[in-house]
Amino acid sequence: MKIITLFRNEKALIRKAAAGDRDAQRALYEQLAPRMLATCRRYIRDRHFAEDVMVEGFVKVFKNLGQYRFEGAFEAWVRRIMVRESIDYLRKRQFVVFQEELPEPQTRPAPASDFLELEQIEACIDALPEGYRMVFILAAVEGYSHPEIARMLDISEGTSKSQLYKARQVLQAQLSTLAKHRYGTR
Amino acid sequence: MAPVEFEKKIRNALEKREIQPSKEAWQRIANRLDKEGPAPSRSRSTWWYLAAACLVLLIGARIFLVEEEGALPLPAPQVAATPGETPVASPATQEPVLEMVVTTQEAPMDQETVSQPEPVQPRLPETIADAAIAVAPEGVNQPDTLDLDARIDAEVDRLVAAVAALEAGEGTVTDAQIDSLLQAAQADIARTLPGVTSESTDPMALLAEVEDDLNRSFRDDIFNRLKNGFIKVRTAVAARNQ
Repeated sequence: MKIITLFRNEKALIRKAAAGDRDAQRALYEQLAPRMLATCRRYIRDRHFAEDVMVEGFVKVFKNLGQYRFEGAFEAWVRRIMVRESIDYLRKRQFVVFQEELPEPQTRPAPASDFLELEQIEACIDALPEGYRMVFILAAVEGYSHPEIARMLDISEGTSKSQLYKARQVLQAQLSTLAKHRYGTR
Repeated sequence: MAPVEFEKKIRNALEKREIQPSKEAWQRIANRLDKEGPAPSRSRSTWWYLAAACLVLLIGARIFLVEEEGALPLPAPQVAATPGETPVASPATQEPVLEMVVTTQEAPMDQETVSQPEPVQPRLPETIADAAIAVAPEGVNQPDTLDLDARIDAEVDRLVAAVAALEAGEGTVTDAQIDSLLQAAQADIARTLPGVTSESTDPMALLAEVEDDLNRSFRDDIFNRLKNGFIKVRTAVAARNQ
């Protein structure tokens, strides 16, 4: 019952926001902004740049809200816009280079707590080369398929697969190192 | 750690992640929205696209029809050149070209320019042409049969005279030339029907107008009646000559 009410409230809120109601837009923004900023932050290392991208993404969301047909979750629709906005940002600044060589393993400081803590994971992902990182987040975190990733990043499916494979290798090595430091075992 | 399990843990950890944006972030969004306004709705643009597509289709269909009619064989040059005039030279061939005879209300065919074995009936008066009512597919008035018959008879006589003139000039007349003459006569009859403008003397324009305003069955009917009449008269003339 609560879920239905919440859904109806969100639907009404979306309709109002689409009609240009600033309060409704703000309510939607406050509901989604923290998760959307985290989404942008996954792609863009700098938090301030990530916020710029999120602002740009929300402007697009509210300007095109009339196109949302209530098919699928609203949050997923907004998240797709944020992901595309982040990719556009990185591509415009030519930050993305799809390396074919594995990078040198980096030595990292020993973790102070469980290696699967959020900051640790984020630090490991941030340490990945840009191409690996984007493909890994798109595939492993956002759940996009290789054909979708290839279209979004304008690369071949083979490149997408190889970038994911290498990202996994590097991440696993880093996390194993962290675990070794943490527990003294592999 | 297997990739799937290791990625699942990472995904679970990252999905819970929330970062509070700065307080200015909303203000920046609101300012941008105030400045730029909402994007034009898709529904409106869709209607514009539909309207544009319909317009393009209509124009395309019109061009196609005009081109198709333009591809029809031109009415063959008819009748001998006018005695007092120098023959009109074609720019491409520089050969003498026979004068194109298109009977219009403003300029009825000059009978003296054609050497005719038999007298040709004068052009029917305007009132007869006016009496012929344009034919529409169904539920529309039919032309007066008697008037139409009279027009057809007159045209048949003119056709026989024209063919005779051509035969006298060139020796033989091909079926294509006869067909062209029949088509021109058909167009001439149809053009004089009410609702069809007759100011233009361009044969192709007249044909196009006729094509637009008459349905095909009626045009075929006129054509067949002209053809039958022409064959009858020619047969009779041939029998008499023998």
